[in-house]
Parts: sequence; structure tokens; C-alpha cells
Amino acid sequence: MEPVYPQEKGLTCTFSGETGDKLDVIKSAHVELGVLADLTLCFFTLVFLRLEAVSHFTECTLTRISFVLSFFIASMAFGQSGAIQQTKGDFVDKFRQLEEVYPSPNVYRNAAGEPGHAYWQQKVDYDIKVSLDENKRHITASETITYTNNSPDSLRYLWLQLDQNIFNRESMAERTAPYVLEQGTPGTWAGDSTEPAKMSLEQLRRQYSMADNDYGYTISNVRDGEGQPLKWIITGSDPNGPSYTGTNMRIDLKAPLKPGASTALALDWAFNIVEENAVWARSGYEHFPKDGNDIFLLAQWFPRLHAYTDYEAWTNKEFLGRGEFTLEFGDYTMEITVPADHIVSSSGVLQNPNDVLTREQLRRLKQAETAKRPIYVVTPEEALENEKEGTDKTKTWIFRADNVRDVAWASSRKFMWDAQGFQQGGEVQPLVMAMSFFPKEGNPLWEKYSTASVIHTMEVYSRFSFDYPYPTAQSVNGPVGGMEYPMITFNGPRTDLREDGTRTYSLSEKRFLLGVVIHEVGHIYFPMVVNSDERQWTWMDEGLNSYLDGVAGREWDPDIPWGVEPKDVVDYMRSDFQVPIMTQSDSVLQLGPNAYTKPAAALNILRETILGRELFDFAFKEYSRRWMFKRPTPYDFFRTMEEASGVDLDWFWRGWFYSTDHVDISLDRIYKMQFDTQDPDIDFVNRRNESVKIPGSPFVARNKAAGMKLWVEKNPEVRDFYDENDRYTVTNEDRNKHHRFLSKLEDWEKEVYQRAKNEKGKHYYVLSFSNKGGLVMPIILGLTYADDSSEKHYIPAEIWRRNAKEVSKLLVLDKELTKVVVDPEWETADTDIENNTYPREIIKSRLEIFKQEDDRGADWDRRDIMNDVKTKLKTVEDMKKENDPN
Amino acid sequence: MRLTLIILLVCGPALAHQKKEAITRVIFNERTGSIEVIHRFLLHDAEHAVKQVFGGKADIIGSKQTQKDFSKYIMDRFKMADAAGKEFTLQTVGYEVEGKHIWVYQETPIRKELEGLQIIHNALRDIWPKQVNLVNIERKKKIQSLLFTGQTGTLDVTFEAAED
Repeated sequence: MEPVYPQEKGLTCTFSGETGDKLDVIKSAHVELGVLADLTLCFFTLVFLRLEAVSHFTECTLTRISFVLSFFIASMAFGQSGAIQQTKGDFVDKFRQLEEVYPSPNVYRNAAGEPGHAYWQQKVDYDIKVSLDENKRHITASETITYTNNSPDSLRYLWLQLDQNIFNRESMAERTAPYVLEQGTPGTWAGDSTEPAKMSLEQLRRQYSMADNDYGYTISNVRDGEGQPLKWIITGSDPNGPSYTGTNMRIDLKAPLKPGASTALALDWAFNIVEENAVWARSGYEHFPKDGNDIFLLAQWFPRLHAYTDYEAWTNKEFLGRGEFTLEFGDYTMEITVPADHIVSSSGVLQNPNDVLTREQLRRLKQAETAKRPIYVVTPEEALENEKEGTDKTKTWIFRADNVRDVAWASSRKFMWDAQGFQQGGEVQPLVMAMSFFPKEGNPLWEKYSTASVIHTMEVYSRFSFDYPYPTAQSVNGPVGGMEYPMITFNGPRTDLREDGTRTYSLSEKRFLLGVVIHEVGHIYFPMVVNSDERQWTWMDEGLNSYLDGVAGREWDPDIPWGVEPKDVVDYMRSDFQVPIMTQSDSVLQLGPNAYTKPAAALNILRETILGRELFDFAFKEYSRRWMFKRPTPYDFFRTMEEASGVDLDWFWRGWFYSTDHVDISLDRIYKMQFDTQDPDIDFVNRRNESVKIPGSPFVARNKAAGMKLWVEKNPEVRDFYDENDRYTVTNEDRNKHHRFLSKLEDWEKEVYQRAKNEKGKHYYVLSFSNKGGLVMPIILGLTYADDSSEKHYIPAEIWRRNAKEVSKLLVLDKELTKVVVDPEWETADTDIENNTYPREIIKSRLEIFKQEDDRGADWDRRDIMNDVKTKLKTVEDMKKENDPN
Repeated sequence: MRLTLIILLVCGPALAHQKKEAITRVIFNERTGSIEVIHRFLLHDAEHAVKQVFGGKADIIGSKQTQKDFSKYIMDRFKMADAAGKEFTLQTVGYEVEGKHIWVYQETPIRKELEGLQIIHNALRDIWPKQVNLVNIERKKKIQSLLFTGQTGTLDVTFEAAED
């Protein structure tokens, strides 16, 4: 028997076989359902029947089944766009669950947003020997790499990153840098018909630096653990050009590296250190002409493995300068050989202090462990003396860093060095040495605030995530403005030399130091330990860190403006030139607002307004704990925050992270409701009272004012019933109608009616809102009452679930309302506050307010008072003489 | 989709400090009859800018003169014209430092029957090609945005005639 389903939907499932009863049941159900349901039914039916009666299916039918199957799966894969786009009506499901958009949970990353039971990541250990030639500004080095393959795959080759090659003249970054703009190309102007093209001296300096120096790696002696040479190739930016100019290097293994196995390889390399101020980079040297010394900052300085991940396998995007790094965890040993009078700061713990430090320095370090304020290990006087010397001798500093994704270091004879122990307590890392390294050009600002803010950062961040897990946390001053590595950060603030030889700084520079140290040390948590993929998702470390550095900053001193307020992101969000936060880093046009400000504002809103601090902090800590020393993806973050807080947040992630909608909730109208009791003795009175509110006729009023008398006034003795009783007079006829109404009520209806009739002092209001910005958010109401009291009322965002465009809400209040304001404290990033107030008020523009204020620009706390107090007093006579020397 | 994958990469690495982006609002305030131009810069960016433009001693926070010089520098590099290219004279209203930002204010009367605007916004782009300036033109409850980046010279918007 071959039943065939009706053809009307254009889909048929045909079966052969003897399972007639079941098919009949399904056939009748079929005609009632929609197309997608049909497919579902077909699919499940086919599976069910196939299991039962496999032998009955013909080959022809199997083909049909597989077509149906693949169609069904394909329609699922369209996910958001396929599922939401309607052909009828315009309903938009802002609360649609995101599971259909996220990658499927699997054994590596589960549906809870946790590492799955089969989670794996590679481990890569490095043993590096490096030598710094100070005069040539040159690095010579060699390394042995131990690569452990914890993946379920066999690897025939390994990919390494050669970040220094970005500075090669022929690199992809150089070849594709347009004339105007891009990293390290300051000051060019393309020109137009009225203005000639221009190039600044800075741009010329960069060009000369690139022309004079050969930057990029020279790689040699690539070999395996037995010293046998290995085949390797570097991708070039021009496939027919020089072959060493790319940033990706493949090393071919002699035999495939099986799951669970390790292999060793080794190679040598050398490169010229870039001059950071000329070329602009995350590392490099800075020359100080006055004392003739350099500060060397070394980062991205060794060939290291690309990440091999469960969701992308080998990450292989060329390093173009913008998207940052994706790295593996491992253990590092470094032997750093530098001039004997240099001070070295590095990721890791110094293994041979007796070889490189004096007894006095060691004593001070020990003392610093329990000090209450930073203690100098190398004092300013010693650093100043050191600056004068110079030496041909060398020393080797040995460092060990465990369970890190990267290492960086700095070296200079200009450094003074202070330290203070952070007594963290706990089991993970009870003592962390906080240290700062800086030249005299950073004082007195650095000695006061650098190490102190390193410790402050750890104190705050650890409360929100986990104990700082490394033995040291360092802040080093050099040419780089701000950059982060495990256990070490590079920070740029400097102070100004005055004519009297002292050094001072403005409040703004102080803020810069506090802010940048907190931010960069914060990065040691995100992404150095919670190892997100920076090249894919800048926001996962920058957004999370920007949110947390605002918390830490406001705990330092709220008078200094920290953090990201919702209002700060409004102008970006309302612009029609945006991409969603969930966009791969290299494609984002405005990285600052997109990856820092907006996600940080979103997290602040999630914390302060939507989840509340307790739920948010618990969930955020859970995310941090789960992914500490592992590699999370955005979906792991979204899933964790939801299921640890117990609140459905898909609407929030969808609105803030996946869309470019903005927030604009308008309070359109307020209706006051009054109970119509159907009792004429009450209602007719009410109607009469309302009628007097209608303005009287001007015609009648003017007649009266002119003294004209009405007929009824001139003939008062002629009166009738209607002169005494107005239209609102109540009669028994009306009362009988009412009693008839009452007699028909059931008991429960009578009860409810009596209660409503007798209720005094309740006010019923219906508020109508519309969502003009698209982004659904909670409706927060500031209610002002007739007695001048006020209160806040919070309506969760779910109110928008049935209609994302308009919604009304009934409020039953004890007092009479006089004014309602939506989002009175500017918590939701609402872009138009003019439609937030009812009754409407005139909202002055910022410019109007500015023009009104007399006392503008009084920036009492912004002067460099440190310097100004030293100014010599000039009398009026002196000033007169200055104005007119004659 | 207005945004295409542009090979020009703006913005440097994930550094904490200068963000190198500014926002300007061009607001048609029907109530007061004026087009308000409000520039907002991060104080931190401005501080570095004035040091480069006016020399190392310039102090955007402490010195009124530096703030004034900075405002003039900004206003010299912002130009607005009608759809035909006839340039508006923008009155200087003032400047102020507030919180993390420095604001520069200009205004000009609303013209009737304005078909569109042409805008040039080169502020800070001549010292930092990475600088990105976003302009939101807010007129009759509609917003149109312009993004000045890379080699962008003049950008324009048109207004629908039906709205006048």
C-alpha cells in the first residue's frame, strides 16, 4: 500500500509498507498544520517509521526522505533571520531565545556555558635564551619549545606567529597601509582640490626609520628535539615575493603528533628592536638624548605557537596590528642577558637573585614583602648614578613563569624600582609582590601612585573574579602608553621638568596614571587568565575590563570621573553608522565605542539596573572561575551569566550585543480612570461635577458683563419643574434601572462590585508607552504625587514580549499623580529624554543650558597647583611694567 | 548595508589611553530657531593633542588660554554648508570642561527649506590619521550620521522635502 499525502502544500512523504494504521493517524493530522510543522511531522514520522519498517522503504523513497531531512535541517540553520522574518505582519520577537544563533553546545563547551567534560587545550612550554645588544638595539635569541597535543586530532604541522615581521618593509601590514592613517603613520593628509597633500614630520620619521633599519625576524636553525632540521615555511604578503615577510610560519613535523603526545622543537632568531616613538608599536626602545640611555620594552619578541582550538582549529589570521593575540598556556623559563648595570623587569619570578642583585637590594625586597607603603629596591639616587655609567660587562637574569599565555620584559639602566607586598591571603597566592619600574622622568607621580594602584587593582578585581593567581604584578614605564602581559604591564605617563629643576604633573596626568595602571593590571585577569580570543572578540577583554576598571576607579576616588555611565554611550548608539558588538575585531570601524564603551555600559546596566549587584556579581564571578586558565567564547559568557543568575537575558544580549538598536522609550499618554458605578446617585453627581470643567460660552459671559438681563431673570415668577431641576436630576426611574442591574449580578460579581464602589482613595491610571529605539528595556518610572512626594516603580523588560512597539500598563495608586518620568536617573541609556516626561516639559538643550550659566569653566581642581604655588608673586606695579615697559 | 569590509584599518591596539574618537551633534533646535553644533572630545585625547599642536607646555585642564586655543583649532577644522555648498558662518558660543570631556559649542540660525548639509570635520585628523569623528545630525526627530575617517573629505546628507 502506498499512501500519499495531499499535494496542497507541495510536499509529499511517501511510504511503502504495511504500517497503515499509523499513517492514517498522521495523515489526518497533516491537513491542520503549517508547512514547517509538516516538515517536522514528516521528519519525526519518517524516523519513527524507518526504525520500525526499514525493509519496506524503496530506494526512491529514501531519496525523498533525505531531501526532506536536509530541507528541515537547512531551515534550522538559518537561525535568527530565518526564524524571525515574517511574511505576514511585522511581529518582532525581541525575547526569542538565542540558542538557535549560538554554536551548538558540545562536550568541549556545554549548554551551561561551562567547559564541557571533554574540554581540552594545548600546552606549550618555552625555554628561551636571549641577549640584548644595547648599542646595536639588537636581540639575539634561541628557544626550545615543548608542544603537548591535548586535542583529539593528530597534527602534522604546527603554526607559529612571527609578530615582529609586521615591521618588515614588505609585510602585509606595510603593503596594505593606505597613504592616510593606520598604525604608526601619523600626520598624512590626502589633499583635495583646494588643499595640497601634506605629510607631517612624524610620518617622515617613520618612513626614515623603516628605510634605515631592517626590521622583522631572521630565523635559523629550525630543528626538532634531536637536533634534526625541520622543514618550515613563512607565509609572505606577496606569494611571488620574498618569503620571510609574513607573520605566520609553518613547521612540518617528521611524524604526526598524536593526541596526548608531546614534541620538542627549537630555533634561533634575531631582530632589530624598533624605535617605538618613530614606528609606533606595542614594544620597542626609547632613547633619552640628555643622558644617552635607552629604555627597552620587549613584547611579541619570540616566535610562538598559534592557538589550536576546538572551535577554529589553527587560528591563522595575519597580524595586521589591530586584532591582538590568541595564545596557549604553558610554562616559560627565560635567561635574559643584558648589560651588567641594567635593571630587568619580566613576567615571572627571578630565579637567580644572588647573581644579579646586591645584598642591599635583596634586603630591601624582603622588607617590601610586609611593608605598608612601597619601598625602593633601587633608589632614585642609585638610578641617577647608574644613568651616568655604562659598561661592557653583562649579566644574565633568569626568570620562570608558570601557567602563562605570554611573556614580556623590560630592561634599562635608568630604572628605579619600588615594591610592596600585597598580602592577599587565601590558598592560591597568599603573597603577591607588586612592583614598579620607572625612570626619573616618571617621578614624583610614579613613586606615589604606581605600585599603590597595582595593589588596589588586585584588591578590587579579586573580589569580582578570583584571587590574583601569579607571584608578581608589575607596572613599567616606557614609551608605550598602555599594554598588558602576564604579570607585567607597560604604562606611559610622564611628568614635566620645570625651569627650577623640579618635576610636576597636572591632575590629568595623575588620572591618566591611575586609570592606565588599573586598566592594564586588570587585563592580567581578562584576557591573560580568562583567555578569550582577542583577535576574534576585542570586546570580551576590553569590554569586561572597562566595566571593572570603572568599579576599581570609583572605589579609589569617585570625584575623579571614572567608569562608563549609560549616558556616555547614547550618541554612539543612536548614530546610524554602527556595527553590532558581536562583530569580528578587524571589521569594526569605531573600535573604542564598539568594543570598550558600549559593552562596559551594557554590563554596568545589567549589574545596577537589571540583575542587581548580588545576582550579577555572583554570575560574573562564576564565569571568571569557570574559565580561569581556559579559553572562553562569547556564548560561554552569555550562557553562564544567564544560568548563574537565573534570569533570562537573551533579550538583553540580542538587543545590546547582536543588534544596533538603541533605547528610546516614550511615555505617550496617561489616562485616568474612574469607576462607573451605574448608581445614579453617585454617577450623575460626578457627571455634573465634570460638566462645570467645560469652559463657559464667551458669548454668555460678555452679555452678562455688559449687564444684559435674561428673560428668566426679568420674569422670575414664571418658573417650572425644569428651572429647578437640571439634566442631572436623579429619579426613581433611574434608580430602578440600577436595582435591576444589581439583581442580575451573581454573588461574586456583587462582592467585587461592592468593594469597587466603596473603595475610596484609589487612583487608576493607564500609562501608554511606545518603543521608538527598538531596544527593549525595563520601564523605570519616577512618580510624583499631588502631595509632592515621589517614588520609583520598576517594570521588567518582559512587558514588551507581546508587542515590542507599544504597551500599556495599569497602575493602581493610593495618591493622585501629577507627573511621571520614564528613567528619571538615566539608567537605561535612553536617547531622547524629551518623550520621557508626562505631562511634557520643555527640555533645554545642552547648548541652551551652557549659554545660561554664568559660572562656566571654573575648573578649580584642574590646575597644576603643584607648580603654580611656586610662582613668584607680582605686584600690580610689576604687571603694569610688564604691560608697558616704557 | 552601509558598512563594507574596508581594508583601511582604523584604530590601534587595545591600549587603555587615547581613544581618538570624537562625537559632534548637529541639532536643529526648532524651539530656539538655531542649529546647535556641540563637539565632545575626551579630555585625555585633547590633552595629548594640545601638547602636539601647541607645544609641550600647553595644559588643557589648567589653562583657559589653551582651552580657547583648542576650541579655535577645532572650529577652524569644522565646516558646514548647505546642499549647494554655500558655507554657514558658525557663531562661537563657548567651551567647557566637564568630567571626562571637553565640549566646544557653536551655532547658526536654521535656514528654511534646507535641502541638505555638506560637512567637513578634520579636527585632530591632521595630527592623528587614526582619529575618527562621528557626526549625528538630528533634525525633526530623525538622525543621520556621518563618519569621518581615513581619507574622507566632505560628507553630505539630504533632507526629504516632505518634512519641511
